[in-house]
Amino acid sequence: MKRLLLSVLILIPVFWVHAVEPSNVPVSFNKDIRPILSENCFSCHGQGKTKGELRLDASEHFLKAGASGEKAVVPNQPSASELVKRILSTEKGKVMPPPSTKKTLTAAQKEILGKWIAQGAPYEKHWSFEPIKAQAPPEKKPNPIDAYLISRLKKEGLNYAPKADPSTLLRRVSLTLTGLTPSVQEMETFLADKSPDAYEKMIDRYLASPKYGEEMARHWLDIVRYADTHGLHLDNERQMWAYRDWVISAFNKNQPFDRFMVEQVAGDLLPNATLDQLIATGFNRCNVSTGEGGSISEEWVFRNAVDRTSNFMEAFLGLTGGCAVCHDHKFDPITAKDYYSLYAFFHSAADSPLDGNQLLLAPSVKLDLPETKKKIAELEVEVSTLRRKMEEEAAKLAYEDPALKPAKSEIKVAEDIWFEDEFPKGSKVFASPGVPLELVDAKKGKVFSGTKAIRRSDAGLAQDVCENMSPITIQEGSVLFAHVFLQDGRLPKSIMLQYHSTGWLHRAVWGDYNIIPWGAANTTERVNMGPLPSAGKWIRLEVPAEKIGLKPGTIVNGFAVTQFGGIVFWDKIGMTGKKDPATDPAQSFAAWWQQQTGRDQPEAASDVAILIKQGPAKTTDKDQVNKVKAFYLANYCSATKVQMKPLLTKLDELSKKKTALEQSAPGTAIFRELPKPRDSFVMVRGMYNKPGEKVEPNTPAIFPPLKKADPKKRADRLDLANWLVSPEQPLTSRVMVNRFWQQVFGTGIVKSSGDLGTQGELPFHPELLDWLASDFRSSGWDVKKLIKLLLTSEAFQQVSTVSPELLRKDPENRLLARGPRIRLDAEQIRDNILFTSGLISFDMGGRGTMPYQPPNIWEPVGFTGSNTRNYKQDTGTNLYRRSIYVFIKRTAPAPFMANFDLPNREALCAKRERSNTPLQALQLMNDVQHFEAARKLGERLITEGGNDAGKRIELAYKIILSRFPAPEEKAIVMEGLEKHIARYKADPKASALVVKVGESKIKEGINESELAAYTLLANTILNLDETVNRN
Amino acid sequence: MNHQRCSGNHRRAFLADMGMGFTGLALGSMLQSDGITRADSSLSWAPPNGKPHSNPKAKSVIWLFMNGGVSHLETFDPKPELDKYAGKSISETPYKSTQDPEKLKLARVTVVNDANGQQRNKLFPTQVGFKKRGQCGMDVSDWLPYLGNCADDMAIVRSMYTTDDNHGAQTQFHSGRHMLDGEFPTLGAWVHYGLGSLNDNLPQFISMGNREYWNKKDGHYLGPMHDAVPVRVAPGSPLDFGSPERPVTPDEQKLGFELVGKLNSIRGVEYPNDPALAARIKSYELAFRMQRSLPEVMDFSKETEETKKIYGIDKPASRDFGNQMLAARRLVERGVRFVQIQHGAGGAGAWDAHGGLKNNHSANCAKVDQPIAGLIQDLKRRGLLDQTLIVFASEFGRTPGTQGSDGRDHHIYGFSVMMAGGGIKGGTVHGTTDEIGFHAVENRHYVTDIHATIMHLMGLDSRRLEIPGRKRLDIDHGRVIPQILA
Repeated sequence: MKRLLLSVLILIPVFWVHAVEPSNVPVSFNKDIRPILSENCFSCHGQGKTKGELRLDASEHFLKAGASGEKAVVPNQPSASELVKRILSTEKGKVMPPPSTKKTLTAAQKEILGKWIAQGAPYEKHWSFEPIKAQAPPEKKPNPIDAYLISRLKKEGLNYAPKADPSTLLRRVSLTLTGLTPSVQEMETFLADKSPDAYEKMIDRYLASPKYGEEMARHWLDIVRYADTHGLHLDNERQMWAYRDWVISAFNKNQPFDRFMVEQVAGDLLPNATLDQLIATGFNRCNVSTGEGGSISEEWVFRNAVDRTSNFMEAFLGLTGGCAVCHDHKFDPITAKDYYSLYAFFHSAADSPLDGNQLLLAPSVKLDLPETKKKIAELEVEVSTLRRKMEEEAAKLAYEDPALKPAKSEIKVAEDIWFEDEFPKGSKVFASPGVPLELVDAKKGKVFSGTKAIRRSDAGLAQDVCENMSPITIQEGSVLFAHVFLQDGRLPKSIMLQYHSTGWLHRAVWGDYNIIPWGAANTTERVNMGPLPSAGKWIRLEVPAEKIGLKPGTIVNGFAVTQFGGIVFWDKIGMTGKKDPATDPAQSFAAWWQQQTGRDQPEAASDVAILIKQGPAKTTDKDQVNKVKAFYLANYCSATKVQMKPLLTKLDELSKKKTALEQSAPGTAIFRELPKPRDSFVMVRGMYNKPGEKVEPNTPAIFPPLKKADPKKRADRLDLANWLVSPEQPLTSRVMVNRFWQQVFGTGIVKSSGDLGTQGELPFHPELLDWLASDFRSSGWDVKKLIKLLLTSEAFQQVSTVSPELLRKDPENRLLARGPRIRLDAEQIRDNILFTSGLISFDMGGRGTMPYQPPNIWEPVGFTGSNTRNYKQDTGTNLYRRSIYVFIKRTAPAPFMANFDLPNREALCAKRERSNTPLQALQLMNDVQHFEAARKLGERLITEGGNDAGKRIELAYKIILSRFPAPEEKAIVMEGLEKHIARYKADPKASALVVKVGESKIKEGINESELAAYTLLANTILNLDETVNRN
Repeated sequence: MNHQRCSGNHRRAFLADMGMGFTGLALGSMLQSDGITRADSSLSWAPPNGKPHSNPKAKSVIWLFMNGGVSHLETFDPKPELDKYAGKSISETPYKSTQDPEKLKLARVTVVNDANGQQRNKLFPTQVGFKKRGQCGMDVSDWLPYLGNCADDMAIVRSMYTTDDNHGAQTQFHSGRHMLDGEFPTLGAWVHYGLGSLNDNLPQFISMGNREYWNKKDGHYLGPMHDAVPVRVAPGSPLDFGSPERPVTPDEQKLGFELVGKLNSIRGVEYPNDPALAARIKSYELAFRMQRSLPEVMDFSKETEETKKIYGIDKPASRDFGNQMLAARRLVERGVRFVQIQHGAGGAGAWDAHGGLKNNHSANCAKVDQPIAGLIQDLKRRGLLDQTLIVFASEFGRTPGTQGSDGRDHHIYGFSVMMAGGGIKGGTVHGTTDEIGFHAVENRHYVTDIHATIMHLMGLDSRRLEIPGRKRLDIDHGRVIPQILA
């Protein structure tokens, strides 16, 4: 074996050596020249680094004179070209590449460089940046794919291998399209169908199956790095499965792939976006995130945007953008400015930069599940009935408006409370930036009064903002106040109170005056209140309103509590001031209505809400006024609160119930824009706190320009998405057809399917790739059509056996002179074991499932306090759902999938490894879910296979491998089976142990020792190489 | 294997090439490649053939890694000046210049303004005494009395540095690269990639103990087949999926694997040249042999009480690590190339003594001191120490200054690594830190210098292992430390 393997290893595929070509064959810059320059020259004479003022990566540079005054390339004149002189020189200090780089050019490379210049030095952009060339296939074939492949094979003196037999083809197609082997029934149907289009009809049956979407989605989920946890720190659960289900359904509906991409990138910006289109934007929420205390929000705003930008580039454009985060990419023509212009599209994400370890981090949508909808509707009816009753009661109460009293009421100093356990009704509360608002009780933190306080921990600038409060008028002598508790040992650098009147222009700062640079210093926009208050106790902060420029009569309708670093608690926030009952909205109906004029009243019945909004001046009808008044007295009047209390309490209970129900309903994270976009900059050396040149959202300059829907407006993600699928875009459809090709044939036409940039491999069949890319686009991005085209090619239908000669010539099967043979992916292996046993559940969608798993996989990596610290294994059908639904914990993926190279979903994975390890063998032999499946399959063999052992063995082969066993195989299996039967007959105890593995029950009436023997037989066949391969 | 049913040349050749089958345990020193083929278009490149590039001094590595960061100041690098200036701010001592911002530039920060990984200014006195140990008179902490007995077998490098001031430095010590650079193969993976098997019954790269989630893989671009096989020191189930869910007889197991092997071989006739099929057949053979041989390795019933005592297995504190050390000996005895053992779970590693350093380190030392000394001693008397390299390291050292009232913070500018065994000059102390143990000053070594030294002793030239398209930097390869070589 050793000899054999080694001899295979050192053989070089012959077709690679065609570099030296006769001089009349035109030299191609992309095929022949660029690889030499890229490997040997670009690191000093490329983008970003231009030693001797020379760049060799683009013609506009190398045709000009460099620092030496000589032109590197003079077309048609090799001997006048400095490049040629330098590579041929033997002189130290002159020869290129310099010996210090340890790079040398071969004689053949030098020759072809010379030949290229002699031919006029024709230049091409990197192949994938050139427009897609749609040309006619080289010869007539029913399937154009074969025309391209055959014409190439002919050049190598090869031809296609014979067509594989029908049962091999059936299994190959079924696994490709559904990830599952064919059922025995499908096998019989297909083998019996002698019509000429039997193969095509079979493909159509699988394309129509809902299992098709599940198989196709799997590959896309590797691209978008889908998982069910956040990935860092606590690695808590993240609710996003609706996005995964959306992907499955999009493939099943055969949604045109351009729409599929547009909705993921910019579904939220589509006119009248549907719930599905919003769910699709979860694409941009699949990134790894953290909720670690002490993280800097600003930094994570940057990092999340970088992650999303890089994922966008790699997922759709097949370009690895990582380098350009820190500097201009030396090889790809993507400058740092290009990168950050693209980043600007993702930089204004509305989601909090830190995940707060939350299950469902806003922005999110609640799923439209009929069950929840019904319950909420019922509660809403109850609430409105109760409200009506309250207003009826309130209307009967005696009330005299102080504003209408002839005598002036007594003016008292009183407190207005804006925060005590909660923020005012109808106000809008958000964090900017920073983890979402956290309210803690005394058990989890410090509370000054009531039951809850605001807690915030951040390493940088962070604030909680309350906007859109009911307007409050500043009185003479009003004093704003808030209670604060600074945690000892985690002091902030400064804290700040900020108020909104017509703008956010009123600030009071304690501690480091300059660290929060907002507002003009030493004006009322930023008032220095002195040092930080003492830590470790509650302190009441007071700010006379006038001191920060809030003059009597000014309206305040928002406030914010801000800190720089540290841990800070805030409680009981408000204002003390003189209160005239005649103008106090809590006492005077007239004052209240005046205050509420123009504001929405979501709690009022719709007719009353309209009246309140239009205001007292426009409401003259007495009945109407009374309706509004009843609403006021029922809900807001301090004088009637006591009488209303029992009903108010009941209302409170109902709304709490409704909130709880809404919150518990599953949702999914979506992508949204901040109302006001963040300014974006080139970040110097990729550092989050080193902004350089300002940039606007735009696409990289190398590509056809972005077309804005509205040229006057800033470009948005919808413009970007439309650009992505525009006919001029050279990369998108190439990237996609290449990935589908890889899925079907095992290796992409461009092998590095994640990188079509200059560091990636060249396409093996460039013309075929372009034909496919152009056909895919003009078909309306029809995925099912494309897949069918690939599967109906003769190339796909060949036998996969290989001769030593062919293997030597083409070890990776790039020429396709044989059919593809691929080891199944992790999910396919598990799904097939479940499917063939009959245990599988085809329930679709929903939260990730937790099937059998060895002990101590989650626990050792779990942080205390993580909600995914302990693995809670499911029971019943959830043990047997398809693997695409298995819960993925990023820091500890299921070992039965990781063993077979499931990527960890932290970053995009365009191509999985296909490893071959002894741990895989042990898993297939011993894993409880495999062995249980073998037991159920054994049961099927006994109950469905008749009484004859030979027939049962045949059935096993039919179920698992879609074929009949060869006589030789049957004999070996029979011999093994007989040994097992003899052993278990003699040892009932051992039989009992075998048949009890797993949770499922044994069918009644089955003999235990016989079942044990067939279990081991099934286990053997489930372990075969053929079983875990698509042959 | 039964060849009677076979016919035809292809078939016979295929089956004959198919390794040892399941009929017995194949022991012996068959240096050969790992059976993984890698087709590549590069003209000059071929994967390693499993043979060392030069004459090896050692055959196996036992890599002991203390998660969290061991204080060099309380183990192998005593600093009396710390006691002299205890409680003083560094800026008030003659060593003010150690905190010169220029000198602190080494740090490549991952978490800015992290609560940990900060400058700690107030000097913290040494928390333990030191004694001169062995003929060589090496300074060893009183928390490591047993290791002190092995002073003449140990070489200490006191002048290590790294650049990640957070626990990503764990990955960095294994791969040589800072976390922000991406993921790169670890030292164990390179050794596994470069060297053939000494025993086809066992995986050649095994890990034990606690690996944090960010530090769980080894192969990276070399491929997952070069990841360590995680093994537990628990009789019964040392591997995930390592044994069936129910008791089975060896015969029954053999029958199962044998049937799979026979049936695969029949199909092999159709794919006689498919390296993946050949590798699968081999992997089943190794799985079968591992399943049988690993429980035996982990079964200590034939070890004498005296031996177990040497490892401290009789004491509750040192039992767990002692068991792992004994398992390590049994593994290298059977030819395993690289045994990686990481000590200390919890948070970012048990040694991460931000507070209560005295309690933390005295307790952790008590857990590992006797087991490691026992390992050195046991290997020595069995004549195995000469061919086994032992390394004791952690991601960084700890600050000379105090964190809180009684802890030390992460410290990347100077710390110690201990090596012993094959090719190492015992009784050596190499390199120095400054008077307060802040900066490595003489013979400074980045972590990959340890890699280079190990590769050298294993007879490997890391430059010859490079694969096309994955150019490594000079710093990735490191430089051999000749002063500690025998």
